[in-house]
Amino acid sequence: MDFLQTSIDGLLFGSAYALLALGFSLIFGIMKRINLAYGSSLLFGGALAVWLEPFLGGGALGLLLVTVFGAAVAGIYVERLCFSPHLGKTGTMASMIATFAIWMQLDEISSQLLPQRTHGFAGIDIEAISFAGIILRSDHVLHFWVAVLAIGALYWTLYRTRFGLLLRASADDPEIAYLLGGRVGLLGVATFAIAGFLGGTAAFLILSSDGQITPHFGLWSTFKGLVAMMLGGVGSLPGAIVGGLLLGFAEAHVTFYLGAEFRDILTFGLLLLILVLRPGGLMGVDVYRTGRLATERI
Amino acid sequence: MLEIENLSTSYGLIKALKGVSLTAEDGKVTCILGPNGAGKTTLMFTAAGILKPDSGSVKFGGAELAGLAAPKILQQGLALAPENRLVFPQMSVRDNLLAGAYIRHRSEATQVEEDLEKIFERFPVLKERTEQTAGTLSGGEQQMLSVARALMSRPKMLLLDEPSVGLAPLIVDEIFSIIRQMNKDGISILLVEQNAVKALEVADHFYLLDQGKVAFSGTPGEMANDDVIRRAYLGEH
Amino acid sequence: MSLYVASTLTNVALISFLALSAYLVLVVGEVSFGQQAFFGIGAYVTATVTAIFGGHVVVALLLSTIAGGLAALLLAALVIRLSGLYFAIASLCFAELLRLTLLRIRIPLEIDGRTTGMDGPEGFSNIRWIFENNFEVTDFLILTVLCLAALLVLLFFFERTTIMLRARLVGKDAILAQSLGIRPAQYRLAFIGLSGMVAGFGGALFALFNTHIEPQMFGVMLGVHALAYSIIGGLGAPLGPLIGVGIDIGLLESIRALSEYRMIAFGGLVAVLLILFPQGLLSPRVVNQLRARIWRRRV
Repeated sequence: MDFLQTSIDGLLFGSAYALLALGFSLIFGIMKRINLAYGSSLLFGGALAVWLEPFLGGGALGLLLVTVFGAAVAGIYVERLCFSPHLGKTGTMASMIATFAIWMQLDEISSQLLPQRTHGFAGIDIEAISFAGIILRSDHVLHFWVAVLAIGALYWTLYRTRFGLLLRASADDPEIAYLLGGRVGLLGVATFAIAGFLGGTAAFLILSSDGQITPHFGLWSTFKGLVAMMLGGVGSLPGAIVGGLLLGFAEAHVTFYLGAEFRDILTFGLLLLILVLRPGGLMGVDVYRTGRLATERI
Repeated sequence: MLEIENLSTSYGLIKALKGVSLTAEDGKVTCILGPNGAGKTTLMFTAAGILKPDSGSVKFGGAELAGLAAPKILQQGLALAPENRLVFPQMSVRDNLLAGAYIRHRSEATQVEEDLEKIFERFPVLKERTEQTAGTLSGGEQQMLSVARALMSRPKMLLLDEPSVGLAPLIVDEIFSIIRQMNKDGISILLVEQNAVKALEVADHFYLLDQGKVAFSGTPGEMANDDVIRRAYLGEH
Repeated sequence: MSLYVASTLTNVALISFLALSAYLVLVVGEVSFGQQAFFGIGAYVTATVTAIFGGHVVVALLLSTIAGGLAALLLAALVIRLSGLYFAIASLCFAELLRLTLLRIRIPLEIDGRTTGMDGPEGFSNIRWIFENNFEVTDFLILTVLCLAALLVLLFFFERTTIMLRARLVGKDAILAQSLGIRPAQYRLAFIGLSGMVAGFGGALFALFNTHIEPQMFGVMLGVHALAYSIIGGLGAPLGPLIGVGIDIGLLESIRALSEYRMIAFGGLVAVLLILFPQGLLSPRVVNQLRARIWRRRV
């Protein structure tokens, strides 16, 4: 029973990881670059929400909206400053280091918004559901459904709209997508905004479930998103979902059987193992070995 | 009618085109021959708006295109099927084709669907593979998809950059018969080709590009009679 | 020289070792988020050798250098197939695993009435070598700068060897290098090992200077900083990373008046700097131009 309970807890919590990883993966898919400032832009959203709360009110819904909005705005800022000036093969490294610089900047801005370091983050009160001896924490169930909704919306956008068609085409080959008449210039902004919505939603879920926000959340979510994405496979959206669920699952079990202090050791150990044995991740295409990226560097 | 006049384009520090002038008539197949590095692809890229010319003009149906962005040129009815980088490999065949129709307005959705059907008639191979990921197609199938995708924007003129490169002879025959068929259906074609023997079968007019300049211009008959060209391109000694 | 200036300068010099070690990895075309691990290993080895076993400092430095090099070789051998993003993330995992392991190891010792030895998050205290040998801060600064200068001279001569040329070629285009008969894997292993040695040595000096080290000092922030220095400074010459360090710490210290908003200003500045100089200030191109100019003057 413990095993089942722990697995369910882990998978439910993992759905928030999956959202984090999706945002990461989307940016990587379009930009073919890593955004180190991803977690910090989510932290910024959360910090902004807490900071504005006394002025705006609105309870949990207000927090959600501001978090998502803040994360998207910060994401667009990152794109304008770190990605669009560094297009082309040679800019990859510069772009990554620029995101690192903005990571520090956004972390610092967020710290300024959170003068007491740890601030309360209002949760949503729904009673826990108990079924056949299994207890489902209401906030985790909410995680799950919100994640399902967000993933559904993402897939609908990608596979059912003209914009999604352009986005996918551009991920495959931005120059040809431009040749076919797409306004590729603003795609970056749109990608970062969508990633901000996904990540911001995840941030809200995690923060409200923890009941608090600290400036560490930025680095934490970058790590979790990165690990989940790499577990599943770089640039693969189903991979990001599987990676997130798997990470949640594994973390829950390690915490339960070995204790919380082994959780992060597991996270990085697992990732290193996967990188050594199966670099493409569990479901991914090995982008560095096949296709045009094979000759490109970070 | 596509009229290129005195076109010069630089590629980085290299002057790839040094004042090229040529004309591609409506309803005809015009073929550009030339060795590697002659500037053929640069010419195509400049016409399609990927590269910006230093000077000169590109007129299509009387409208000046030189310096316009690629999407605008496509809207004028000039579509390029580029060499080598053929399809969107992670997308399905159907999505590749729909991406080709990206510039067409939302209100044309039903026509786009009809065009899709027509494309599948013209390229039955693609119909069998509608939902297959384009990256898994064979080289020849990818080439056909590339041409088909360019057609989906309903161009008046198609720019084909070396459609036969790297393909098996049988597939090359098929590609050329498609070119002939498209031309019969009223689409003008500007073709860049290394395979002069095959090009002779379809083209109405030839240009020879060498070191960024037009070195010869003439009909297939004139070309076949030109000693230098015959030796260099038709493999006769 | 005030104590404050001297210790700031020493820190600049110490972090320069880490920046140079990141530079050596970048030369062969890889990006490492994990150089801090080798720095940390060097620090812990020297701490153990001097504070627990009372070993000679030269032995400590030597062992630290070797340990850093071996750890880097281990990582490189594990992930030799990986490149690009995968290598970067693997190095990050490696460094984080090491840091998390150090947090778990608790073997506190009582030596001469003082607590020392590894003590998990509390760190390793009482590394008393500089007190026992009556080193002033300025003395240690001189020692560090001399070591750094020696390393730079070595690298400067190394820069002109064919090994370095080949390594740069591997970094630029591994496939082309391979077609010229160069084995990229060998160069990657060698340079990553070398980078571990440089970092290990720097970490050893770091432990001696700080007298107290703890795992949190060797977090990912340290490693990414080192990487950023190399890239802002430029990959054209070993001086590039040092310029990066100078800009960061120099600027950090000079706008201390705005201390609260320091990182906000600095982060933005680096991003803007990278837009203006995407290849860093001392990019290979600039270095070649400078070299040509100097050469011409001599003739």
